[in-house]
Amino acid sequence: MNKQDKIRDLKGITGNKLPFVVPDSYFDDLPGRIQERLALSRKPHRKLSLPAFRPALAMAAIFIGLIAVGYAGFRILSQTGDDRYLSGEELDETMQYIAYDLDDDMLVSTLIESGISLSPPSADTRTEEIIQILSEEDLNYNDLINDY
Amino acid sequence: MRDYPQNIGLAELSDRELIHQFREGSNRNYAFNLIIRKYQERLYWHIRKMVISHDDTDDVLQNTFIKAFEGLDRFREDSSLFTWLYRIATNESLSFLKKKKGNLIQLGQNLKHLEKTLESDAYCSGDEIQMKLQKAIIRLPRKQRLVFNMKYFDEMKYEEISEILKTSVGALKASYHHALKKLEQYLAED
Repeated sequence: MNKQDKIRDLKGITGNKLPFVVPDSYFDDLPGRIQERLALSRKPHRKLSLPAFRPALAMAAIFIGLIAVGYAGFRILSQTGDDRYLSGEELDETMQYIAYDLDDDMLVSTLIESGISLSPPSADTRTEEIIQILSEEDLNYNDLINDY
Repeated sequence: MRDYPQNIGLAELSDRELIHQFREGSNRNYAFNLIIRKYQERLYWHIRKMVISHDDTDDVLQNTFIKAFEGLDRFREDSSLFTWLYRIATNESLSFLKKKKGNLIQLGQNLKHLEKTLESDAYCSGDEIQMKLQKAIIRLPRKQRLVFNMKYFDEMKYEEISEILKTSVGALKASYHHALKKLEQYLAED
C-alpha cells in the first residue's frame, strides 16, 4: 500500500470533516459586520490643516506669554518672595495697628526708652552767649532803644 | 427604500451580473452583500484550515472581503469571482501566518501556538482521528499545507489550485506528494 492509499484510507474514516465549529449565527451576522466596517472606513477623515490652525495657535501663544510676563512682573514688584519687605497690604495693616493701639503715653515712654533726644536742634554758641547776657544783666531796654 | 422584488431578482444574479450591479453604483452595497453571502462559508473554511483559531479566521475573512470591496472595480474578470476571492483569502491567510510567525520570534513557537489553539480553542472540537490529522497537517510547511488542504479537503483540481496559487500543476503535484510523505511519517510517529 503506498502513502497516498494510506491517507485515502484515513479519509475513508474521517471524511472531509474538520474538528472545527463556528459560533451560532456567525454566518448570518458576518455580512452586517463587514458592511459596518466598510461604512466606518468610508467616513471622511477630517484632516487638521496646520496653515489654518496656525493663527489660532499664535494667538494662544501670545496670550500665554502676556500672562506669564504679567505674573512675573507682579511677583517682582510685590516682592512677595522676600521676607525682609512688607507688601503694601501688610504695611497698611501695620499702620492701622499703630494708629489704634498706641496712645500718647505709650508713645512718650517708647521715645524715652529709645533714647531719642526730644530737644530742638541747638543754636550756635554765639547766640547762646547773647541770650545768657541778656537774661542775667539788669538792662534798661528803653535806654537801649533810645540809643539806637 | 429598497425595492423588494428587484432585490429578489438581484439575489439570483450570476457573478458577472453581481459585479456589474456593484460597479453600476445604485445597488453597490446590496450586490456586495450578496457576494459575501454567496462565498463566506467556503472562504471561511479555507482560511480556518490555515489559521486554525476561529477569532483569527474571522479577522482574516473580514479583511479578505474589505480588500475585495476595495478592488472589485479593478477586477479584470480574467478568472472567476470565486477564484479571485479565494486568491485574496489565501494571500491574507499567508500574510497573517507570516506576521504571527514574526511575532513569535523563536523557531517552533508558531507550531506550538497552533497546537495550543487546536487543543484549547472553544471552537475546536473533533474526534481523536480528526485532531490527530490536524496536528500532523499543521506541522507541514505553509505552502504544502495549503496545497494539501485544497486537494484533500476541498477536492479541487490541480488546474484550479494552479489558477489560484499561480503555480504550475507539476509543482503542485510534487508539493502534494511531499505533503503526503511527511504526513504519513508524522502519523506513524504518534
